[in-house]
Amino acid sequence: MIAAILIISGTQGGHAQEAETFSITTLNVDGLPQKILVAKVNPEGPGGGGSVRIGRYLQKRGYDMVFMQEDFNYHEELTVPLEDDYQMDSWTGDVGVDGHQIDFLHLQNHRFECDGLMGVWKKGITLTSTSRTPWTANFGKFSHALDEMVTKGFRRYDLTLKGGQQIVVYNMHMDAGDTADEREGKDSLDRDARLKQWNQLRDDILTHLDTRPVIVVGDLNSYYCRDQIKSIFIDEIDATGRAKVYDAWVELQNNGNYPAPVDGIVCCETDGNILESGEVLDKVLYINPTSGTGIHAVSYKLDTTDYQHDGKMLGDHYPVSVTFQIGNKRPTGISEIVNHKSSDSKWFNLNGQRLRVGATAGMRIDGHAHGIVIERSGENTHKRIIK
Amino acid sequence: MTTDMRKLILTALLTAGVGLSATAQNAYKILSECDTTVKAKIEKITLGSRDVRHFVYEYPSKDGDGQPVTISGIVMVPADIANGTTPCDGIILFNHHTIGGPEQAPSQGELDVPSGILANPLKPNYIIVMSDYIGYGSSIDHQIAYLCGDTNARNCLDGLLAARQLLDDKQIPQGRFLFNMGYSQGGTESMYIAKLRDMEYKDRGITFDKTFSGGGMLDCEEAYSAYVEKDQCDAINDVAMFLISVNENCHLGIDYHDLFKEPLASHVQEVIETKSKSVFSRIGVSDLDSLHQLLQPAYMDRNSDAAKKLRAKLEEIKITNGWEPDTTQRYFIEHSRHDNYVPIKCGRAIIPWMKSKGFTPSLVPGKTNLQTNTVVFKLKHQPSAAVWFVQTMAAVQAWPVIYYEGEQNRYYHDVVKDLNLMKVVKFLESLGIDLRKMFNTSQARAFVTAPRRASFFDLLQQIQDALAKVDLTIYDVIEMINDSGITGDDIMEVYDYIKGTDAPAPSETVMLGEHVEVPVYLLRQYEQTLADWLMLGGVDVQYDQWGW
Repeated sequence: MIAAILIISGTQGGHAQEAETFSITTLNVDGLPQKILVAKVNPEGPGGGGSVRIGRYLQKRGYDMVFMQEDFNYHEELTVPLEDDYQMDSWTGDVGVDGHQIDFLHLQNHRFECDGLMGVWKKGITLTSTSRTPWTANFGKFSHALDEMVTKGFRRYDLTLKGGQQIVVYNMHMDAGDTADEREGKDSLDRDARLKQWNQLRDDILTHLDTRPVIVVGDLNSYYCRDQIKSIFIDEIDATGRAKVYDAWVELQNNGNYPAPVDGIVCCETDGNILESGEVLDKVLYINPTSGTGIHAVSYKLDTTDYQHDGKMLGDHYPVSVTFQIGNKRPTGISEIVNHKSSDSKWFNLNGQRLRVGATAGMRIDGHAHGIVIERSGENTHKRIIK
Repeated sequence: MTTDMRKLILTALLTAGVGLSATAQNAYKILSECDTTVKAKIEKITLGSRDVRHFVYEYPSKDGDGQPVTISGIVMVPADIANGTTPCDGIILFNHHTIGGPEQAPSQGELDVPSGILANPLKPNYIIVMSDYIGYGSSIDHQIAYLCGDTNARNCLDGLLAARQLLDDKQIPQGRFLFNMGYSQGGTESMYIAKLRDMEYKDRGITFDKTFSGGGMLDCEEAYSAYVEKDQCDAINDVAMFLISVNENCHLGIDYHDLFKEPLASHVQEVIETKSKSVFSRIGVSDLDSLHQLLQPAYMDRNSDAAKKLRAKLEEIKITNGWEPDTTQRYFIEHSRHDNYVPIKCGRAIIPWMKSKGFTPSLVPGKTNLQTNTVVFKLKHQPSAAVWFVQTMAAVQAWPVIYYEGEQNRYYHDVVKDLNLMKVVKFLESLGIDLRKMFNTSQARAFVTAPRRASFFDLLQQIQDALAKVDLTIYDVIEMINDSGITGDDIMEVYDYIKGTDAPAPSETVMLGEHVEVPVYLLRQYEQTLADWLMLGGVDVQYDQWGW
């Protein structure tokens, strides 16, 4: 899907410019085993059959890069459909009894070495280096979502796109909370663990920051209204003056506004953990170094419609996909937007200039909370409504 | 090195602050440190072995009069914890049982309980801390304080603080959990320790995750009364030692010829000096089978002036006296109903008191802050120790899983929070043990479901007869139920279920008059009981006419 597209300026007289776009998806594939011995671990999970469907879904979508979490026990089923088109990261193993030396008398000392993280990228994209870092803080081994049972953390990928542009991607799975604990307001230590993980992530990014753009994806188990993402991650990186952080969902779906923190209980019990605001736990953030190549999110999609089988979602998270444009200049225009209602929207071109009502070019930045998606593919841009 | 020399050195070090920890309160001196292998054994069968680092140490504490004394003890660390290859789960403050003499004190290396804890097949990753108690080891020149007030408890708590300092200095991790436990004398001391912790040591960083007290004399006045009332005790030596200890430590001034009959009366001084049970054997006291053969008549009559004076002192030093318990601390109290050393009465006597202080008893581990088990029967004092040991070891082994997050595991919590008798019955059914089926195929059903042929009191009599076969009375059962936190509703629910009657659901009610709404099932229970009672009195009751 990486494409050199011709951006046509709709309002500024038009000039042509080569630009490279690429798509990236983050997805928690819900790959914990349905059962370990007699214990039901993830009875509602997709299992082997469901994981094959997830793999086929990803194959069909053809994203340039896919970053997964909870790729534990159904790795083969998940990745076989992707083998022809993709290169992939190393898998760190499953969760279970077979093949593991487990001291059942002292389970408190056991931790599976796997992180459940997996990255795949289309052939033609080059991985120059990768590293794996465990979180220094976790919470919950036998309850609170059992985060300490596996070696959660983040992976960093240095990638070179087909056009030669270099990017850095961080894929991660942050500390989860138990819904019942969240409902009862007993998740403060889960929040503390995530806070420390955000700090660790920020420090790692700043330590290694150079001129390449950085994309942060994953199941972050974080909501802006609950976790201090804005203040301790985004604002602190921005404050260094070395880079600026963006969230694709905030930019394209939420008017550019970060949801404000709220005091007290935040608990979401909907399928896919979608808050009323449209915010989900899975996020795509990106960081443009002040002196370097910039990237820009040009589409955001939470696929609540196609990520299904027999009316049931394939895993327990919906995939989030974002298309980026990379280049020295921001896009100066886009092609026609289909099905928009300009009367109730504000339309801007990508230089931030407001367009007249009824214009057929520009970018909607006031966003929608309930699944309006702007997609660009080649010279076509489509807006779809996801119910 | 003699004991006096050890004391001298420790005192000198304490004074000079040389070679000791920064805080004099937690000062200690290592007497020996070695790597060795310990074994867990039952008779001659070795259940397991484990390499340990074994410290014998001494530390400052106080005697019963508040005077400084140097106490000794041991710290036993699994070698894999000491060398950092295995994480430590915590510390067990283990309080030893009655020993036969000074040579069996923990510091003298003859006590096998700590080895049994660490080397048993569960291989718990804990550090054992044990005090000798006053009168043994480094304090051999002091009298013992056997089952007498909080002197030993203070020695143990000071020993714990010193051991923690020792472990810190040796850079040995101490884990997150802290348990306080013991059986028999250790069960008594554990409760005195819990009391002293609440009243004096709480602010010195001691918080027990659980206190496990088994077969303990938890009410010394009740114990004395029970002994003389029954006039029979298999622990004659221990009763004698206990009374001598009280007389000595509490300065009662009772002439031993007034207290004991011969031959003991003339050998008390020897007992005090040697602290050895062998004296009792040699002079024949161990062979006595009745207490009146040991005690003078004045002390066999609990209402005599002499006995009253003794009982008043026992009342004064009993565990509950002056204790405002911290209800955030958790307890497990176990006592066999057929304990032949420590009567059940003086073990369970503390349960009602604890209930009055805000504890809620339950048989289920972790359900409440007071786990009880006084339903162990047909076991004497020593076999019952094995039951207590297995329960306790299972608990400390499971603790890091159940309390890993610093709170009770949600999944475990959800299982136990609503656990009641009925759920146990259902659980047994899921395992293939169908109590309902068993009941309905037994004669009991015919008996219970035929009120005209048998009265309520006949039923009680039949239950009594059945219990007699296991040396229990219906009062024992009521006590056990009471100690276990089981309610009348729990029992009636199970009773209705296994009886298999189509009892109306509890939600069905009838109005009595205009304002009183009563569950139908309750009325039926009452009416049946009343009918039975009337029939017993010769009244011909047509029970069926009473249907609601």
